[in-house]
Amino acid sequence: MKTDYGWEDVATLILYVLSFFLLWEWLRPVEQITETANVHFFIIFAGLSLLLYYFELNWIISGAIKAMFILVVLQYLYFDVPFFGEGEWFGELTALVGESVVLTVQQNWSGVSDLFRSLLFFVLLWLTAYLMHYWLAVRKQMFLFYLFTVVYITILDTFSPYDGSMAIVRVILFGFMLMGLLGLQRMADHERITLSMGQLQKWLIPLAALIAFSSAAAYAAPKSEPIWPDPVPFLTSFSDGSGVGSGGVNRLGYGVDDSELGGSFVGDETKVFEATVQGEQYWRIETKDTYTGKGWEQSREAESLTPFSVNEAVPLTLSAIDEESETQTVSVDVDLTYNHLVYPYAPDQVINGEADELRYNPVSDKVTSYEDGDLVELSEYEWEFREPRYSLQALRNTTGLGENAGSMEQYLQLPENVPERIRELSLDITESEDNWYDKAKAVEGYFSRSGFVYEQEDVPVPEGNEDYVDQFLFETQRGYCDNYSTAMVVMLRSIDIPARWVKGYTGGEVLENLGDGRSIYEVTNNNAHSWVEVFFPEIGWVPFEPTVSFSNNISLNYDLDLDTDDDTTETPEPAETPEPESPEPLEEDTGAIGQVDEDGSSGTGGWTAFKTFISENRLMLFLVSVLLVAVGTGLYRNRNRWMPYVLIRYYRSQKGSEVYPKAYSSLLKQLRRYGLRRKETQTLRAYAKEVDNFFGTHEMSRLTDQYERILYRSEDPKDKWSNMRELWEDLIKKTTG
Amino acid sequence: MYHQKLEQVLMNIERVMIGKRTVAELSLVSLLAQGHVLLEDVPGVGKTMMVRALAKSVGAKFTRIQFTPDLLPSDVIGVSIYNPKEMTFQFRPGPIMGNIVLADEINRTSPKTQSSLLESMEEGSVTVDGFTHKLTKPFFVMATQNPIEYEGTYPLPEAQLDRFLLKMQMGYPDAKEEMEVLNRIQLAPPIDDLQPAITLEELQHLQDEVRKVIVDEKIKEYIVDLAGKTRDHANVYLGVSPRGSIALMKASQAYAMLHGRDYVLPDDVQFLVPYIFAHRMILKSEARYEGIEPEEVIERILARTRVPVHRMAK
Repeated sequence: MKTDYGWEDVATLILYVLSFFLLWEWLRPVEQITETANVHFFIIFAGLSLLLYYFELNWIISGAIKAMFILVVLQYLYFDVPFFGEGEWFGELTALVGESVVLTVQQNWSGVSDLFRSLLFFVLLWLTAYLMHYWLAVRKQMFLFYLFTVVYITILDTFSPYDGSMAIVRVILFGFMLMGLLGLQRMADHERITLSMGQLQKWLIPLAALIAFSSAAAYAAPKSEPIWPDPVPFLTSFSDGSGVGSGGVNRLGYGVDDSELGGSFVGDETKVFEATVQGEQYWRIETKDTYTGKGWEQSREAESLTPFSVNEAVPLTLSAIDEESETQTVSVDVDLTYNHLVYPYAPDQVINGEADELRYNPVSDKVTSYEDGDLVELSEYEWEFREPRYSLQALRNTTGLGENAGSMEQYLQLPENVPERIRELSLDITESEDNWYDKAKAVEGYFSRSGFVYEQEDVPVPEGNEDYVDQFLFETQRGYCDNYSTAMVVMLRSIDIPARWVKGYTGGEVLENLGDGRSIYEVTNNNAHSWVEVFFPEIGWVPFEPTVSFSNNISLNYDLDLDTDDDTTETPEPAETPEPESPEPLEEDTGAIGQVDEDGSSGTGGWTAFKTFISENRLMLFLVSVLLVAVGTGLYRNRNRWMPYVLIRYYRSQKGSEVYPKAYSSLLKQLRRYGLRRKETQTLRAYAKEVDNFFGTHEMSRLTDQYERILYRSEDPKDKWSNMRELWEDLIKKTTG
Repeated sequence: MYHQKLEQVLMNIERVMIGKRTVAELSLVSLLAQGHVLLEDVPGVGKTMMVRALAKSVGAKFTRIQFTPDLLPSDVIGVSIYNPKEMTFQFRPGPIMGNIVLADEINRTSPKTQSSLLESMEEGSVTVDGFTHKLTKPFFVMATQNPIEYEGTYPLPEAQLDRFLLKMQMGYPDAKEEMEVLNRIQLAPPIDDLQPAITLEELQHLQDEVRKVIVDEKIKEYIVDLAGKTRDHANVYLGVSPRGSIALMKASQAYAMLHGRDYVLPDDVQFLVPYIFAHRMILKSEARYEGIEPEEVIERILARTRVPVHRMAK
């Protein structure tokens, strides 16, 4: 056992205490994760072991103390009799251990007694403490253990209910302190210095301050949300496919299978595509017609897909084409490629795309791309489309199907066991309306009027015989797009209005306003959306947006008043009423369009001009900056080649007494760049000799001699420069080679 | 580039001593700095010859004390003898009353006799029967000790070692040098023809001049830094005392003068440190067991002490 203690031992004690804290972090989650009770005994044991190692007690004594501790704890935990006196607990204990050893050998894990497990855990801790002692006292390295601790905490935090958010802060604090101190000890060892209190303080105080400051800054600083979704639900949803699991999170971006809706919607910033288009559009992918009570399916497979090619009209008519509507183009730049194409309302033709054939599915409205008869994923394509306008009068005139009833059967389908109260509610809502359009508007607006809540998380999956829409309408009254759109379709169908469920993306976020009124929109998986189309015999399919808006950073805000506003203002000329087909947030809409208009028409503002210039010359600017960086890097890396000439010119023009010392310092720096580095413990004279040997001259020694006189003899450097300049120039030129 | 006159002294010594330039320089440095030298080496490598050559070159009186276990202090410093004619005690000076004294095998005599020499070295005078007798000036002792003859010796205590400005080894000549030694000795011992290169007065003048050699603040800081690091070093039980720092500065001044400079360079300090610090340090017993020498410790300290090469802010 040690007897004399110095400051070094104080440092060592701190090390042991810090490593005890680290070890503690390993034990903290044990209680929660493995449901082990009385963890504090293990913690005390870990501390005890480390303390005994710190005092460097004889191994027999320390071993005896630890064994005794284990025995006492086991006795206390597993036997009700007192430690001394009556009771054959010790015999029982040995019997239990022996039995468990046999069971372990037989790999009968479940039969092993708790007592034996506790014993093993103690032994494990004993070993760990020894290992830490070895790392601390012999190796003086702790990084590996620290790394493992961090990994351990992060894994537990991620994959288990244990919340490691404070643990990680503690681990950082203790771990860095520990490694910093060990670093000092290693250095002292290496240099064979005995640590004094002053040195310890000199090291400890800045170290502690640094760690405290950075941790505090890191703790207080705003942290961005994780770029990856929480891996557990992500992995579950990935392995299960979407739509399975009770109450689990399962919706992620665009999926094909909608047969079981419900569950939380996971936010995901993965970019799907960029669209360059005038004004925000809804991006359609496909529709589904059959409601199962749990989700959506297709009533039938399409017998054949309708082929068409690029620059040929799409065999898809959503509504009667409004000849007055201007033809627009949109180019779609896809990041997350699929073999289907997204398209705006209402597409005319694909004008650009690397596919030799496109096929249209008349059942689902899906457009897929083919190359040599095989499905192909396009990374970019362009659409020509005409934004449809719907005549409000025509819409309002619709009160029944008329002659087309036969073909609409699939859009009026409902499962047999749909609860009657859905129909009752629908009738109730639409009671005062006489035409289909107003009825649809009434249903569309019902959700926001009745205080339904937009909610992505904590959305249940209907269980047993429960109906998805029924659960949403009458029980939960919260949900995301799937809930609202499905509910509206089912409600409309229950009152005999043909409707269908549409999937796609919302407009996305504006990345950049181009000068010509077009903007680049970024569409991410967060924009994956579903909405409703209602069939009007005279007009066609008209989209509706029932999902209530939320002032949320997820861009799923919809404004329902827009339509009503339009209705009222446009009432004097009902025949000509333009109906924006995709409801959008009012402010955002006007804001965006206003800005675009301003950009396009005036263009006088300097800032606008500047922005336009930037966006028009992006590639150019990028190339120029790359070039500048490259040239800069090249110049910097080769500075020892041109620097001497700069220095020579500079010092030629210099006068005064301080020139020589400065020039000499520059020479030293230049030599260092050249690769002749002076060690800090080397004298100038020795260095000069080295340099002269290298160049085969005596110049450096002569220059150094004069500099030494200034330095160590306090000679006036005034006249030196004129005498030494030529030598100096000679030498510095040699370094350019 | 040496000091003109001192170079002649060195050349004189070199006529006798072959390949011992460093030893000659260090002896001269010690003489100029008014310090004393401890030579530690085996017999027969030319210690005596070295001192005699030095004495002859500066025209100094050379005396020699051969230390034996039975030598008494009075044998060193002198004794008062009764003169029956004049009825008085007369002081008969001992061998210490010379300019250049060779104290041979100093560790073979008793501590009492050792200290009589060392005290007089320190004080520059001897006191016999209540009378103080000044030692002649210049006064320079070159003590030798045999490292192999440990039996029957009285090793010098640390405090006494501190009184020597520097400690050095002669070392064996290499084969070529030894051949040259044989060649020269065959004809006639060249020591007999040596003529003084400088006079004693000139030497004393130079000794005074040494003090005027410029030691910049940065150099002083460097010296203090080095001395301080010997005290903090983990292998060192006892580091270098401030007397050691003083010794290093003085020796550096003398060394600078020898090299014809009136200012000290860090190079001078670096060259001299091992000779001046090594015998003033006591290593820990663990370090000694590991076979670490003080010179190694000094080398390590030099390798991590920054040389001052920047001008201080005014």
